[in-house]
Amino acid sequence: MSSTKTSDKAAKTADNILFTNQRVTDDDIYRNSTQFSAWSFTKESLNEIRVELANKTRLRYQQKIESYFMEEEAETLNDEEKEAIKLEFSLGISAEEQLQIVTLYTQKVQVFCTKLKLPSEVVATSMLFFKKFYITNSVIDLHPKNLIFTCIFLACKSENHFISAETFAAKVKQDKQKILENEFRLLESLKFSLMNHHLFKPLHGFYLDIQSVLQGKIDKNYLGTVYEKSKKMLINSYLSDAFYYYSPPHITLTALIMEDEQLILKYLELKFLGFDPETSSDSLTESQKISKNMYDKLMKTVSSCKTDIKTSFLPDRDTAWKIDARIHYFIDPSAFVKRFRAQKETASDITEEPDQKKQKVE
Amino acid sequence: MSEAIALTENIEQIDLTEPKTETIKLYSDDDSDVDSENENDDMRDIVCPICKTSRYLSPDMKFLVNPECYHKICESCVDRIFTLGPTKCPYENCNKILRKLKFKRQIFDNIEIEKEIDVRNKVYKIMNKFLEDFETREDYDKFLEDREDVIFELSNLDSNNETQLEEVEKKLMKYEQMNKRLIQENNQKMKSQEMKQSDMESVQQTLQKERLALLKKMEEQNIEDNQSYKQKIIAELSKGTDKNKIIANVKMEIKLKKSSQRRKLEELNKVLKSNSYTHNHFNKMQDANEEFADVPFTPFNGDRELHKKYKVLEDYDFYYDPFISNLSKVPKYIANGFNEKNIYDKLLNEAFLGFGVFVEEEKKQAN
Repeated sequence: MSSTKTSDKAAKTADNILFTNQRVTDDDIYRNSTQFSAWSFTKESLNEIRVELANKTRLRYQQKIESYFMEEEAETLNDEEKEAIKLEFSLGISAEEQLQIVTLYTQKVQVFCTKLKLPSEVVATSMLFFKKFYITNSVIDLHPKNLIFTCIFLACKSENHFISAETFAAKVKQDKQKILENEFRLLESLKFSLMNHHLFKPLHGFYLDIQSVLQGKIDKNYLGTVYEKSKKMLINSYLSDAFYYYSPPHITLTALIMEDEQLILKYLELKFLGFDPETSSDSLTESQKISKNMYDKLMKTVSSCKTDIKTSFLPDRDTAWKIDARIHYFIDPSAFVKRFRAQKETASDITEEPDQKKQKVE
Repeated sequence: MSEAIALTENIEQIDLTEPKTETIKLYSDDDSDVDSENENDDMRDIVCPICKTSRYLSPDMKFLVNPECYHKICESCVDRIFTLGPTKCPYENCNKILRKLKFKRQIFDNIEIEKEIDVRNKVYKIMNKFLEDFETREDYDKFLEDREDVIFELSNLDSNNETQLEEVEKKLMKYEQMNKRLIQENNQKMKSQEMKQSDMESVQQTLQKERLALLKKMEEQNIEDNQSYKQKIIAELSKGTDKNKIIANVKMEIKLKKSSQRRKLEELNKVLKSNSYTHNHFNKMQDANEEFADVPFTPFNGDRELHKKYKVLEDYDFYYDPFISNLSKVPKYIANGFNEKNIYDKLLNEAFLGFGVFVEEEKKQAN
């Protein structure tokens, strides 16, 4: 009931805004950002996009690989091998697997950035660029390891932390050409929208606002530690999908609440309610009811955001190796045949040991 | 044969000259004037078209024009021809009657600009309403536009369109008759404004002069005093009193004298500063802007929400933020216009940017 009411209201404001001299709120400004218009999703729609991508790539590669084995190397393969190939490649890389492996590599992006001592906004931007790229691109088409440095390089530029391509390539000991090669593809996948409203400024803002709302009731040094801890949590939250589902202030508040629930709830209560949230709705005035509704809505969003931040898509070591290996076979199918044959030879001892070594050498 | 060639040449000449005169017609309606304009390249070759005196021979020669027809005539010719009363313009084909009184020096090289400015001044004297004479801004804008139209027509319609020209002039006359009183009032207003401005300038100048004179006097006296003190000291010493005492006495004297002068200068400076005339106008503008400083600039003039979800504390020293307060101590940031309050405002703004946007809900509706 309440949701339909608010939806009507929202629709009305959206219609009227052009024709009346209604003032533009900060919320409207956020609604006009690309972060909201192009890079915010509901959980269902985002999942749909990912599954569709996985299906499409699977079909594309199946055809390619089948024709490769059946026509070019048909004579060298025996039935057993053909069967194994079918089994291996029929699955493709599922949306979930892609998400797992991308999250793993996003973490690597983060690690590299910290090693390069980049500011946290650049770190966050490169992580976001990386993740956004793999919403519309399959890991098979471009292996994540080839995109890491391109992302960091582009993020440096877009966050006004300029490093020249030569210096950057020398710093990370990579080929400059390789870094620049995928830059345009990345830009295209980002829909050329590079602006991100990050979580660090809101965090800083709340840090200040808490001080002014809870004047004299708070130890400033303690608040400083809460700030530092929340900042770490926020950087890690970029690994989750929260950034697509919630606006920056909500994620920031969630992180703060996860750090010190009592303090932040008190702050929100004083700021938006001015009365005890437990009081029954009967004894409230109209305006109090409205603010209570908003407060409850905020709390609901925060609690669902909490679960989203906590959900980690990081695969464990074994699954990660497995997925990585399969991506590798999709890129180079003959490697799979070789490994299959080698496995058969040492049939008595089937492990993935040799495979892992190979990966490590790379 | 040769005749034929000569004829074609003639035709060519005509072809060449005709468009030329036409393009130049915009500037004047007489050929002789064109000639002199072309000769403008070398100032010495300028020749008065009436008496044919060239500037080469009489370097003091000055040209005058009459706003009736704007034909250039040298000063001596004006004296010669028009002293006996109004006469026809000596240029061929120009039948305008000119008076000596109306002749004036040409200020702008381009005769057209000269003409337009004359017209402008004339029209401004008649159509001289101020913004406060109108009820709405649009009315005032319309009035301004009308005025420009009249000026344009008067200055650009050449004598060929006399009927049109007359019409415009009639319009102007009508306006003048209808608004006679207002025009007079406004003219007086304008005059008093000008007076005020010149008053202000003169006051400022006298004050400034006084100050400079005082400074100079101080300097002179200093030099003089120094010499006289030296002599005094020598004289006293010769009398044989205690030398330390003498020097201390003299020093005291100098100090007293100097401080009294300094006080005078300071007072004068104060007057200069506090004087409303001399007050720096730029500062005033800044004060006025302060009121609107809270409203961010938007193309539609402050259509942003004024009630923010946050409030930056006036006393921003209250915020405990070592990072930013340290930054505000670095001279190179201060020089760049670093302002703690702006930073706090920006951070708080970001904290509530999209605070009321519940992404999932709104995206669901969109689908």
